[in-house]
Amino acid sequence: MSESSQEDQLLIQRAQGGDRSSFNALVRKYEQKAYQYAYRLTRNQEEAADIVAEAFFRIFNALHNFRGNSTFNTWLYRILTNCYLDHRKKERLRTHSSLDSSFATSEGEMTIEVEDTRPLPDEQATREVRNERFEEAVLSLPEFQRALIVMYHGENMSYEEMAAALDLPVGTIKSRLNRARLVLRERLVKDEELFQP
Amino acid sequence: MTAEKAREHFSALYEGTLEQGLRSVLERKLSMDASLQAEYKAFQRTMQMLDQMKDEPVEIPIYLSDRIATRIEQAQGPRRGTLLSGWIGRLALGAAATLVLAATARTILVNNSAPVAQAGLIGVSAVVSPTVESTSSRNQAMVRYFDARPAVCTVKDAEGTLSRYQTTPNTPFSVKLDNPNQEASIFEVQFRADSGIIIAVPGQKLQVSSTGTGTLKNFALAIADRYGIPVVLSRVDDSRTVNWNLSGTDAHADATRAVSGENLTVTLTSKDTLLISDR
Repeated sequence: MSESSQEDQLLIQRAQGGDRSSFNALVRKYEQKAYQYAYRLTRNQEEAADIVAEAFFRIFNALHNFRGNSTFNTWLYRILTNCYLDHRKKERLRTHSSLDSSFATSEGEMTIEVEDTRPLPDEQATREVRNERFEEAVLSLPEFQRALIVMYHGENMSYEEMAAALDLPVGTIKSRLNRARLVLRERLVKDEELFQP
Repeated sequence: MTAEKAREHFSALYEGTLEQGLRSVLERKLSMDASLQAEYKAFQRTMQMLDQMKDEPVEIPIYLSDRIATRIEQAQGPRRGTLLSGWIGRLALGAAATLVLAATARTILVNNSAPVAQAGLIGVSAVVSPTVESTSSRNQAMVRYFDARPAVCTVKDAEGTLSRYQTTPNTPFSVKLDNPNQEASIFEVQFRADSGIIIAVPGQKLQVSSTGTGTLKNFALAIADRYGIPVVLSRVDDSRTVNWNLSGTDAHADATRAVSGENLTVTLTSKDTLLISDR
């Protein structure tokens, strides 16, 4: 067990015993990392802050049930991901039609494509335009695929860590992440000239 | 092997984890199918873009801790509120930090007790680093810091004059660096042993210098002189030598070109400063 995990275990035990300063210490230790993940998922400061706040609220209420079967870090990512998916579901129910309306299928969420009427990029597209289009393409992914992409590429999590956080077999994580990357690739086809070497 | 089946193995092929026999079959399939091969090349480019995601810095909003505390307190209701109020009080924006001011015109202290837009910048490391912003005056830069732990901010200007300030935990701290010279000057700012930074603050006038050889500090000064933006050196060996030719109008592009092959990252921050750090 790493030193960080040992420290977490101690803080959790104390927090479970009613020590609020230990819970505060856990929040301070993880709030920035949690925000980083939430922001990379949403690309929206307010939304990310709400998701993080909701996640720590759920942790506060469920801490007495935490048995240490996974690390706190893994548990946190699971709760953050669920908060993000719940948040997006509420947003979809609130707006009947939006630019990235989605519907559920057996493979997860699918997004209805809307025609892009923006002018074609200039031949001398800048790196900023390329990054912007790439970011838009990631944002347009179905939420679960986006979460997989951000966990692996943004948070540098291993397949095993992702499997533990999402409670799925490693093989399932690998195949779904591969699928997400292929979908992302398809989304970038219309901007292919920006991504040529 | 069908094309569909081949695509299922793209990630494993890219990551080098494909079992040898399957890898041979897939590579043979790619060599015989130009269209699929083009798809895989495009997949590789997508993966390269994705691999940069973890290096993208994310700025933490100043109100994050307060938002978390408020959410938990709301759920607790009024009868439980007092139990957390001490925590929220410590997290909320409070009184100004205790100061020790040096008698110098070169460092102007501004203590904010009002909310500011951004609190901090995190990169790959968990270390809390100060952020640097340009201001409406070219020859000034603002350093901001926010940490749950107390710290002593030490500022050393180009003359070697030292100023020291005591920060308060969970309270935004800021200090304005004022350069009265015509040309860019170096300020060294440190909060903790692991978070020292060097900032080249532009002078009153832009300088024409465009080519040169020198240390990273000299390079930072050259950029600040030419483009009029603060340049931050963070976690680098500032005595390293680089050659530069700043001939364009884009500070970020020119600086990146100058340090290519040096294992350094150049970032243009949202606060209009240039950040040079170890890759």
